[in-house]
Amino acid sequence: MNQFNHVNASTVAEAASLKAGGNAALMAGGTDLLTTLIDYINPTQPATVVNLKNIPNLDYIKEESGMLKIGALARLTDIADSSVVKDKWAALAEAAGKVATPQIRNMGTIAGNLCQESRCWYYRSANNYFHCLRKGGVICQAVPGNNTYHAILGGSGCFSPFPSDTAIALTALGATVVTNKRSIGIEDFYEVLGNTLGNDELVTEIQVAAPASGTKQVYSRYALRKSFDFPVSCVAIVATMSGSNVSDCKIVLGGCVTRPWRVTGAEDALKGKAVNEANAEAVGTEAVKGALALPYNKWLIQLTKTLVKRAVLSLA
Amino acid sequence: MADELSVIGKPGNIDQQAVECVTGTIEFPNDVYMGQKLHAKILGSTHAHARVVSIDASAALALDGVEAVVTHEDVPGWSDVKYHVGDAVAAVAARDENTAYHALTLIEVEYEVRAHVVDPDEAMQPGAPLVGLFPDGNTTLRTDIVRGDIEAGFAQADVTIEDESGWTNRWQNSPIGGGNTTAWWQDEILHAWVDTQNPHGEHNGFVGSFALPHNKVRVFAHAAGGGFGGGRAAVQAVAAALAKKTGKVVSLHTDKRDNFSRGVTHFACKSKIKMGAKNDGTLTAIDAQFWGDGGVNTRPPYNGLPDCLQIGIRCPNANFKVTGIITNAPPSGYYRCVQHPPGAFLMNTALEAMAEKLGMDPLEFRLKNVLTLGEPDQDNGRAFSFNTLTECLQDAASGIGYAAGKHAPGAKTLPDGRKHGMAVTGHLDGHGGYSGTGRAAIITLRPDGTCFLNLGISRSACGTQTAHCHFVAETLGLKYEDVKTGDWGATAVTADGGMQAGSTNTNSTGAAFTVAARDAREQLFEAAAKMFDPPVNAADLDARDSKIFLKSDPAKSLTHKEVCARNQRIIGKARAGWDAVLQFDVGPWPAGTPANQRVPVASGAEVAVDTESGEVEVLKWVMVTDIGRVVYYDGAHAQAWAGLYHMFWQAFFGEHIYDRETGMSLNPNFLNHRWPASLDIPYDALQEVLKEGNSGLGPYGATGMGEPCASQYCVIACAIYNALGVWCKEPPFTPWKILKALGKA
Repeated sequence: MNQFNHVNASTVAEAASLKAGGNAALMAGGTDLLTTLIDYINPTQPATVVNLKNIPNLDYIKEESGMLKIGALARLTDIADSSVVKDKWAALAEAAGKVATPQIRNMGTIAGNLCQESRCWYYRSANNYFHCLRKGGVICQAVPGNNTYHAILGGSGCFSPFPSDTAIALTALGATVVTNKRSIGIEDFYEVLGNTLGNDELVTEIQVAAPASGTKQVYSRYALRKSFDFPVSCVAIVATMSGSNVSDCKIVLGGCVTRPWRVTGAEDALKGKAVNEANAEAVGTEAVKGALALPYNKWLIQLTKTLVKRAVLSLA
Repeated sequence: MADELSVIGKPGNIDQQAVECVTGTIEFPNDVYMGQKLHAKILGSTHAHARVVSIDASAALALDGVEAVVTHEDVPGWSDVKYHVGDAVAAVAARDENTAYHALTLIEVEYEVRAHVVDPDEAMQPGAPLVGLFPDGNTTLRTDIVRGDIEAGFAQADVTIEDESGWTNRWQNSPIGGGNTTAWWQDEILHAWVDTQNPHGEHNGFVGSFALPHNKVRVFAHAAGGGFGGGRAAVQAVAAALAKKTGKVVSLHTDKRDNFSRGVTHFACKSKIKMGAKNDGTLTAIDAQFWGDGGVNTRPPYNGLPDCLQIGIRCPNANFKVTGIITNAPPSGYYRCVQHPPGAFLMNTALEAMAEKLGMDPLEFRLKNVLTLGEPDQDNGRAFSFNTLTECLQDAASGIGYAAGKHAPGAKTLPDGRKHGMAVTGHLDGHGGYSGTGRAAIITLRPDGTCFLNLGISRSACGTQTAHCHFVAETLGLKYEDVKTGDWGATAVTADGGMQAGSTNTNSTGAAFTVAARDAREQLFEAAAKMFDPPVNAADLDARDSKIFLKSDPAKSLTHKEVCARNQRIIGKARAGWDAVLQFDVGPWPAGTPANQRVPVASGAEVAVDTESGEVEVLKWVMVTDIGRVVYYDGAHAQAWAGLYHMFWQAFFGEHIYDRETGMSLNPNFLNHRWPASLDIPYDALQEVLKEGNSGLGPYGATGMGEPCASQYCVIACAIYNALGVWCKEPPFTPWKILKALGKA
């Protein structure tokens, strides 16, 4: 990678200012950023890397008035192991614990996991070999190319798969992303081509309201390699139970989608229903109803349907 | 016979490199410290086929810390035409690695882009773009085996099948090293520290590349971290060229992207096999066509594939034909065997299909048609030194409880809804034998009776060097701990031990060391005989546990130390090769018998297939390999385990994927190339079994084993078929491929 200036930001405001100044990259755990620099995946290289880890008091995990608050610099390991998170926000703990390897979870932060760059193999090609739509180019090379692991839902020009595990669980949990500028529902935090952070904006906190009592949570993923891998497809379900029936639910897909993809049709198919084989099959079918297969990724429709079906059955 | 041996086959003898490896003190070529040194990196072509018109390196050279840039005008063997994405265009030497990487981004290359083809099916079509290595097409060679009368064979058949496969996967071996080199010119003498599989071969390469006298090159083999066929990266000349240009020490440290974009991969292949058999299961005819995608390699390593396809299967009428294709993809080469993994896959899946059509149990069908002990090679008539393929198949079947658990394809569903499948496959492997090249060895007995092996081979850490120590210790009657490896592949002071490839090292270089040990033993016994009181005949002596004793009265003995202290010039030497084969009595074959060696190997597998997700779980996988004689006990079992690991990867993960439009690798890293981590391996389900037919052609009846025990992923394809009743013939068997086979994708 190229030489760069390394600046230790001591406040969020300082980090935002440095980012706004242009040609700077923010670094928390660095597990994603450094690989992008080593491989020269972007058209330009940052002159400055802003280290956020020295900003004090931004790595907390706490419950306040029934609200889970996680500082942007909280490590994935700590979220996965937190008794507070495991107790009421189990889907998040499960998702955080599935990210990559123990070593990466020890370095990676929640904000970094939410803001990581695409894992599309065209996007990540070294030396910006494929200057794709997502980087300001004119086409998504995955469409005519090898799209075995690309998005079946949410694609629009770009069909990049969505890499974050935690974002899927947080979307099902109805989280809010707090930045130095605003609070924004996580469903609105992402667009097809990435997140909606402004030039002078960075994530400072994640807030999640406590689920109603009797809520069941599931986070389930399929990855080719079980030891460590990005999810090819994943699903989070947060369901309020009424007896053995599901009274209310949120179902969110990840992996083979361009951004956290809530499947309201599947949610409607589950609401008011008992958890059984037939209903789970119907929910799975509904979840992939709008899926659009590219030449190589039709299999992801079947896989995702199965994943959703089994996640529903696990609510029983 | 095993009880007569005191060193060979005994558990607990540790690898000669073990302590260095586990303590992290083993030196790789880039660990060589010689004060200040420069770091080199290579720029690859961005086009799959292009001619370099001009290279402007001025901006790179202006970057602080950059000392030199070399191109095809400087590096021997480089052409101005590039034939695949990643083909080396230029190299930089700079004060540190990051500066070198940065400099690569500043080199401006003007290309004359030429038409290219990456898809092997497209490359075969009339009018396809020319890869550029041949003037009139993209087909490189045809190799045939024709035996008997194919038409008559099919006329005799009651049943025929036509079996077709898709393209198999290209695997990337990607060893830890793969071309790492530190180079330095001192008084016009080139010093090169390399991680090759063939140090004396690299020495010869430097001599040729730089037109040097042999005595002006010194190569030192350092740790390679494995080779798997990828330890011959042919980029060593870059470091030497940069060292020459700068007058400084230059260290080329190839990264994973280098390995993936320039290193060799296993070739992809596909087949069409027509087979005929009588109703009783007797094969009457095999007509097989095979296509191999060699990338830009004009001498692809699959020309032996017809032999690998048919080996071990008795069929009097056969026609095997291979068509080689070149494409603008990185060169194909070796990957822990060459032809056997795909050969066994293509033939065993066809045999499975034939058994089903005949209504026979596939194992019974195989047992009826495999060559048995005493039957000669069908093409050259030469006897096999041993053949226990029948027993290996039976043992593999027993290992998975095949007799009790077998069922018709698609017939068994497990309680959890998954489909259950079993299969047993096998082949006679052509590796593990002798290299035709001569291999030399020198051993030295020291004054205290201990022994040094002067090793002119590489430091690929696969244990064969330790096996050589076993041969020497056994032959000289020394304790194992009294024998140590000395110089490793230092070409100025070692004899050429040959290339560490083809699973030949245990036998070929082992033969040389055994012959050298015999030479030393003669000298030792001659000297000892004179020291007995009264003197005895050397022929009456024997040795064991570092003592030399009278055969007739073992209590009368001298230690090796006592003899060597008074006889300090005992050096054993040998040049072995094909001649050495004839020096050993092996099993039933007396010395001098022109026997043929094959390594029998079989696998039994039991799988569960989830038809909704496409996931396959291996419930049991037993591999049985007859390696003639277990020499280095722990190393042999480790090799077999590693073979299972490699086959697991080949079956479920291994796949180098290229963008068809550009020829760019899409998964040039361990994240997306998906080598399984230890947590991905179902250790409890895997089992390796080593048999000892004691009749390999190597010293003490040994064979090589590295490749034979890594060539049976075919058993997974057959077990999946038995589970589903539909074929998946496009490895790796990922959920995508399984769901596709089921019509769900």
